This record gives sequence, C-alpha cells and structure tokens, in this order.
Amino acid sequence: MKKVLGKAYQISMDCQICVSFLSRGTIDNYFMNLYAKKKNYFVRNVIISLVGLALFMAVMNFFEQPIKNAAHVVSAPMLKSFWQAGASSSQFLGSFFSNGSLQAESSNLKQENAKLAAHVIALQGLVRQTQTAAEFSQNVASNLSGLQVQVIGLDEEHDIATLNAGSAQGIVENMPVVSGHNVLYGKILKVYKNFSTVALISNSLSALDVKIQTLELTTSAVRGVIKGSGKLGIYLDLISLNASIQAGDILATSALDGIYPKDLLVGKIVSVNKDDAKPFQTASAQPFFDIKTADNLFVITDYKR
Amino acid sequence: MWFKFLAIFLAIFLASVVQASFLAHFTILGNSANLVFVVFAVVIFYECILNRLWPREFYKEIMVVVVAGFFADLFSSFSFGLSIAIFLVLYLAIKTAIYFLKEIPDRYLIVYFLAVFAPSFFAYHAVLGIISNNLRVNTAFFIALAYNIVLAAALFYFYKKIDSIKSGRQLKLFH
Repeated sequence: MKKVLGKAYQISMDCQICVSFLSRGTIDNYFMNLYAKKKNYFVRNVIISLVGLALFMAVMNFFEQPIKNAAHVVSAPMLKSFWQAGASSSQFLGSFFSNGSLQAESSNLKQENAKLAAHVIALQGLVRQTQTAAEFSQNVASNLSGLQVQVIGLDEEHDIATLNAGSAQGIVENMPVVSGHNVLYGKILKVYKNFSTVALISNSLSALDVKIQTLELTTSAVRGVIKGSGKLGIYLDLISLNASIQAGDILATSALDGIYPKDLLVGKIVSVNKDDAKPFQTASAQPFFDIKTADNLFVITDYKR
Repeated sequence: MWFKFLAIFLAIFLASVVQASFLAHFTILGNSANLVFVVFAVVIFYECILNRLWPREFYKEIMVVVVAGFFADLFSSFSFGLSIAIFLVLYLAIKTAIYFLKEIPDRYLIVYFLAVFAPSFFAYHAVLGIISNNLRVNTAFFIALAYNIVLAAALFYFYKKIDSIKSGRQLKLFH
C-alpha cells in the first residue's frame, strides 16, 4: 500500500514539473533552478562541514590530555626503539663522515695542547676553588632527590623534548630537569599522566639567571641571563659593561629565578660581544647539555623554591 | 580504495613517530625533517592530480588532511586543530591551483609538485613560527627547506612508483 502511494506521489510530482515547464515556456529556466538548488546544497554542505570540523577540534582540545596520553602510551615502545636506533645510526654516520677531517682535527688538537700547557700553571691556583665547587655541587645533588626518566622524543624546531614519565610518577610543571652530572637541561613544560614534555634552556621563550664563574679569582661574581636562541643554542645577555668576562668562563644557575637550584651547570662562554654603544654586553655560549646522547635524566622533584 | 587510504593513515602515523624520535638525530645545522608535512604534501598533491576530474572524491582528501593535521599536532607542543586548519587551507590552495591548470604533463610532474611544495612549506613554518614567537627567515630556514625538498622529491617518486605498479596490476586484470 505504501509503495503504491509512494509511486502515485512521484507521478504527481513529475506532473507538477511538466506543468512548470509548460507554464514557464522554456527548459532553460528549469535547469537554471536545478543549478541554483545544487549550488545551495554545496554552500550548505560546506557550512555543515566547517561547523563539524570546528566541533571536532573543540572536542579534541577538550580531551587533549587523555588523547595525547593514550597516543603516547600506545606509541611509547616504538618511540623508544626509534630513538635508540636514531642515536646509534647518527653516531655511526658521524664517525664515518668525520674520518676525512681527522688530519685537520689532529693539527688543531696539537695547537690546543700547546695552549693548554700554558694554562696549566694558571689553573693550578684554581684547583682549590674548583675542588670546593665540585664538593658544593655534589652536596646540591645529594640534597635533592631526582626521579630518573628517559628521553623518548625531541622536537628540535621548538626545543622541546619528551620524557617517559608524567603525573602518575609525581612530575609537575616547572620541575627542573638535569643530568647525572648536574648539567641543566630545562624545566617541565606540560605534564600528562604517563609522559611529559621539557622546555629545554635553548627554547626561544626560555630565560634564566646565571652566575659567570670567571677564571680570575679577584673579580666579584658576575651575573647574566641565559636565553634560548632555538635549535639547541643559547646566548648570554644582560651582562654589565664593567664586568670582565672571557671565552671559557663557566655558567651556572644562580637560583634567583626560583625555578632552578643553585650551581647547576649551564654552559660556557664561547665569545664575548662588547659594544660601548649598548647598555649591556652579550656573549655566545655553548650549552653543556646534549639531548641527543642523553639517555637517562633526572627530574628534581623536591626543590623548595 | 579504502585500503589505500587506510595505508595512507598508517603511513602518516608512522611518519609522526619517526619524525619525533628517529629523525631528531639527523639534523642539518639544527634543521630537522618534517616528515608528516612531506607525506601530507605528496599525498594531497598526487590525489588532487588523480581526482582532478572527480570532485566527488574530495571527502577522502579532506580525511587525509584531518588525519595528517591530527598526527602533526599529536607529537608537537601546539594545541589540536592548528595543523588541521593550516593543512586545510593549504589543501584548498593546492586543489584550486591544480583545478585551474589546463594541462599537466606527466613528465614534469615533479616540477609542478616542487612549485607547490616550497610555498606550502614556507606558509606552514611561517604560521607556526609566528605562533611560537620564533619566526626567522634566514639561511637556516632555506637549509631546512632544501632538506625537506630532497625528502619530498624522494617520497614523491616512491609514491608515483607504487601508484604505477598498482595501475599496472589493475590493467592486467582486464586482459
């Protein structure tokens, strides 16, 4: 019965279309109407698709934490194996490519050796100071407890590394990340249940107060700010024009920023840029951290600010 | 057909994992490869060429855009949706550019692809750079562009080879 009624309805509609043809007198108008209808459908579909996509993005952002966490839990074994494979492959390729430049490196080393011999005498006077610093550094490490974590990913474009531990292991945002040798890597940026991300000190938004440990014993402590220049690079800024600094000076955290403990190793000065026209002097610096070879790191969990 | 797109989705997932872990060790002057973007660009360009006269297939291309954007955001520090939105705009631009081309000779397809890839890569990195306050168009950027172009060209030929093998098999069925 329904089928019969449906068929009858379709026939009546066809008749209406025929009548409309006759009444308008031309077929072109009919096709123009059809085109307009189709165009309306297209616009409607595009609007529906865009609204659907916006809703999809909103839902994804609302559930960002569990989605990202689940994806990392699923892909963690793959990430870890690929990370280790990448590390060993790059080391192999690095040694392969560096073979050609071994002779040049050897002559450079000889020159450097001569310079180092001249510095030995000067350095003997600093041995005592260094020993004290080393003892102090050991004390810092022993006073703080660290959670051992592993690096499983790196976004070098934005200087962000991924660690295999998260809030389930007691990690919270802004906790400092260091190596076993007290070298500072950065601070925790985002925490998920089973993993977390670290903003390295080379991140372009990173800035931390440092002490410059000069080789001259007589000079007073010099302070500056280490800023990230991106792509695993750092530079030293805001150093007083009167301060006497030179290449090779060691940079360590000062704890003034309230995030990092005192005396964590940051890097060393490579070259000084002093311009009397500018209010401060700056310096190129080489960071001590090497995220690509770092396997185990420590998140300092009990640093009291 | 659905098997092909499933394979593409798996390839994008694998690309995002490899990019975040393995390729992080292979940088040139601090520039790493953006494998997810490369896969997205190759697949979208090729599918737009193939479906130039078949606009009904566009929803599958949209799905590739959404999946590629999702995985690009998954292992990055950005919120979900940013890469999807950029990829969608790039897809529409590529689709329009290909639609208005009168003729596409198969021999010089790679030239057309690279002409599309380079500005797309620039646009993607410019937007991400502006958002992360780290936009620098310097020598390092052009090295990154060259690095990714080499990778994209290699993947383009690989995709073309797979497609030609598949087409050959389909033809054999009719003989």
